[in-house]
Amino acid sequence: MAVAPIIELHNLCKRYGADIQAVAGVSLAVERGQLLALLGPSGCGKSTMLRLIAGLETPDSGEVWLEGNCAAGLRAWLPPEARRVGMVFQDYALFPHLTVQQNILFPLNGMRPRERHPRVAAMLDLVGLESLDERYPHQLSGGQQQRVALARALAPNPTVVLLDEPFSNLDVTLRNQMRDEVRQILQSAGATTLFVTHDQEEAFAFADTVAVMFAGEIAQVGPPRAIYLYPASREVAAFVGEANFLAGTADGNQVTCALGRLPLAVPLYGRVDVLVRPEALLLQPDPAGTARVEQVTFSGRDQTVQLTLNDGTRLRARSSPLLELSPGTQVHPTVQGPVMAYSV
Amino acid sequence: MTSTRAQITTTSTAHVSSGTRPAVARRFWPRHWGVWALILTLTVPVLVPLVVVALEIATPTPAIWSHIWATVLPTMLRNTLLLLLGVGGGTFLLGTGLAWLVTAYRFPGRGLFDWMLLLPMAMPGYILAFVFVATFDFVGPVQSALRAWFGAEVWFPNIYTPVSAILVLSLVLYPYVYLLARAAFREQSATTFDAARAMGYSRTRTFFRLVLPLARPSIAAGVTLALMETLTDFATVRFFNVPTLSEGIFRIWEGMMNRQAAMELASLLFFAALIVILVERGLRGRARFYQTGGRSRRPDPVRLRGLRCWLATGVCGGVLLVAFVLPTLQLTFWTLDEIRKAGAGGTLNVAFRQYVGTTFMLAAVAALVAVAWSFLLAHAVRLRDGRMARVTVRLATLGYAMPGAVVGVGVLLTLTTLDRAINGLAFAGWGITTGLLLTGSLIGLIYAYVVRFMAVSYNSVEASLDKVTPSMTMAARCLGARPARLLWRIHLPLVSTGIITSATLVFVDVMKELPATLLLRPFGMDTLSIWAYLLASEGFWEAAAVPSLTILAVGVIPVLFLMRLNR
Repeated sequence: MAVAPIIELHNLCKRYGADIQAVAGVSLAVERGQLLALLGPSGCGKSTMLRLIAGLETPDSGEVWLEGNCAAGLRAWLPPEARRVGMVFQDYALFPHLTVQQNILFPLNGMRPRERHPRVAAMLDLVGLESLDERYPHQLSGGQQQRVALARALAPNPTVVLLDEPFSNLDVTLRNQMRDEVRQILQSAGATTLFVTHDQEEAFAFADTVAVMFAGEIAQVGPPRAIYLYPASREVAAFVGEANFLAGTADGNQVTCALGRLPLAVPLYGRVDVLVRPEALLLQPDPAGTARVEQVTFSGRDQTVQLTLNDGTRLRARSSPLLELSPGTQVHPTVQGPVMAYSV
Repeated sequence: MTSTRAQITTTSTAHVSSGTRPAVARRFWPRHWGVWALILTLTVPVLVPLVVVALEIATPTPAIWSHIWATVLPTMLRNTLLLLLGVGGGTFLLGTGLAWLVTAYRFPGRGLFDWMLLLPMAMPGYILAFVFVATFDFVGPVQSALRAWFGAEVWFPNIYTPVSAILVLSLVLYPYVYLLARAAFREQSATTFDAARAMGYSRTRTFFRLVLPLARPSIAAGVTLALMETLTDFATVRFFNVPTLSEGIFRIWEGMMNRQAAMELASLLFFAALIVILVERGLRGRARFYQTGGRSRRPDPVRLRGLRCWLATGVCGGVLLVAFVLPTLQLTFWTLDEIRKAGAGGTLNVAFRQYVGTTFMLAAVAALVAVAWSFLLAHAVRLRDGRMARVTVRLATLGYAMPGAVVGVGVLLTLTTLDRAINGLAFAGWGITTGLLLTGSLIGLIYAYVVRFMAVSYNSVEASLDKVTPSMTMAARCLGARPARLLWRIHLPLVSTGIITSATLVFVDVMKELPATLLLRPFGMDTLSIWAYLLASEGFWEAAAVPSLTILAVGVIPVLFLMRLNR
């Protein structure tokens, strides 16, 4: 028995001018309580998707359904204020002339006056800013502003929360901290969340489902692990992480390439490109090994090793910092787990 | 390939929907019709008087054209172009230069000059012009004194040239540029400035490479205001015997009573104004500079030393002296003279009170209407941002570039037509004659002021609305604010400064306004500006000084207010 998805997009299209197809026929469903990341390079149309869902843009064709109601379609239109969508903007868009408290009160207009202040208090408590309610936005740090924006978006208890690159204005340490914090806040609020980012690490760490977008189309939807380990295309594979591609020949469940015969995750036949993630390559120092170390970049928690195979193929491997390697060493590479391959 | 994708996506909880959809769809007919209706309601009335005049152009009279081409037109065109270039350059240099001086440097008197340099805004061009003429004319005190010292043959430059007109107009119009440039400079954050300095740019080079380009939209808006005032002016140039297009329209209208010729001449001015507007749009370009993430600190002004510091003081003081202090003193002397002559004078007193009351009322009502009008329009355009909306707005603000006389004629024609229609309806329906309800009424005059000064109020309202980032508008809507609430709670408070600025500008402009008032004033109703102009054009300097000084004094109040606000 299927529960109606919170967000449903049907063949959504949006074009800017004559030649910019921002969103090209996207269909997608997001279930209640899901935390979905829209991941893609800049200009792939992911922000436009958010704006279409929020009602800040009108689709050229296709439909947006929110909680079983048609919000945008050929003959239906709900203005943004009627969609019960909470949105957190990249620049937070806090109202500079209102205090933190007034900012959070702003969306509670329809609520009974008696209930408003407890709600604001609850929101401030949720984001841990109880003591700052009288401050103005410019008196807050970036992380605090972010939390106010989140509290403000969550205050009216929206059907869905949309986050548009919310961490891009924060520095790295704060970003990681805020990511965990925001995720926790959203989960404890039980909010259905759609989140836009171009940073795959952020998408993987934040979301339970990732949708990868290229050029206005969704290339793959799945849990982070599936996206990373079993990318649906070469493009996805290269975008979500470092990738080595080796030419090979597939014959059903196995593939033959410069690294030997490897098991395939998905059966395939014919000439293919084999995807080998750097960390899937296990290196063993071996004078009779088939690969030569060219360069080692040590970064603490791991090291990146540039290899050349006997046939001249160049590969990148990531290995434990404990392994002592230096340029010129011969190593024996082995591949962990089944691999993905793509027909050429 | 396809099988791969299918297999992997099935592991996901988010699936590509198979198209089971709930049945209810809320009906919504023409999208955004409300906003469009608002935009059109606000634009059409302001545009009609201009269209009415423009339509006259479609039927040119060859006899008129060949006549004015053979006689006055070439001179008018040359003078108009000369004035535009001169005043454009003059106001840009004075406005931007002075604004940068008081923002970036510290020198004796800076705190005072900072706001006092706005004072010439209260001085209408025609007042400074007649004081200038009275002072430097052949019979004026300067030439008389020179003759007394050096004999009757002493050389003195001819003051009745376009150069004098450019000088006078630049001196009274530069505050538009100054005000906007100064605000733009102040809004720039110190970090951007420091960044450029750290890249090895000197203060001067930073100014030219960074500060000036960043302030470009504001400066362009300021210069455009000055140019539109220049195109409109007919009285200043008349004092200097410099016939321009605008002056020509007025001369033909009132002198020969040849309305057809006047209106056809207006077509040329229409295009001149159009060019100015297009150039401004071009200069502003698509550049929209937002200050995101709160206000950062301002760059610290640098203390000037030695000669340069006194030079800075001298420049600021000199401009202020010539554009405001000396003429004001002269007017004060004349006024005192006049009061002494009138004695305890009942008539002067009564006339004075009446003129002030009328002028103040007109200016306040017009400012209120114009600002409310432009704010609503800017707000509506913000909601329905698009090419069409922007073009519509450009059309709605065309009035400022039109000479007051043309706006006056347009309003006159519009109202006469309306009156005739009302009359016809009333007669057909109830058999009564309503007569001229609107023509020659206060409504007509206010209408003309709004048409004329929409650009003034709209530009500053829009400029301050630009500081509200689009994401703030979007956030408010996502948070459940309907357009009305968005306007009241977000846009209005955030642009309150811009609104007060624009109301002040309109108020001052209406007080100084001459041509449209001259044409449209209800019978027997005179304003301060008309009183001053009529007397001055007859050479009654002392008598003209009384209303002039009043215009100045009243004009200074909003300027002071403006200053306090912009601190």
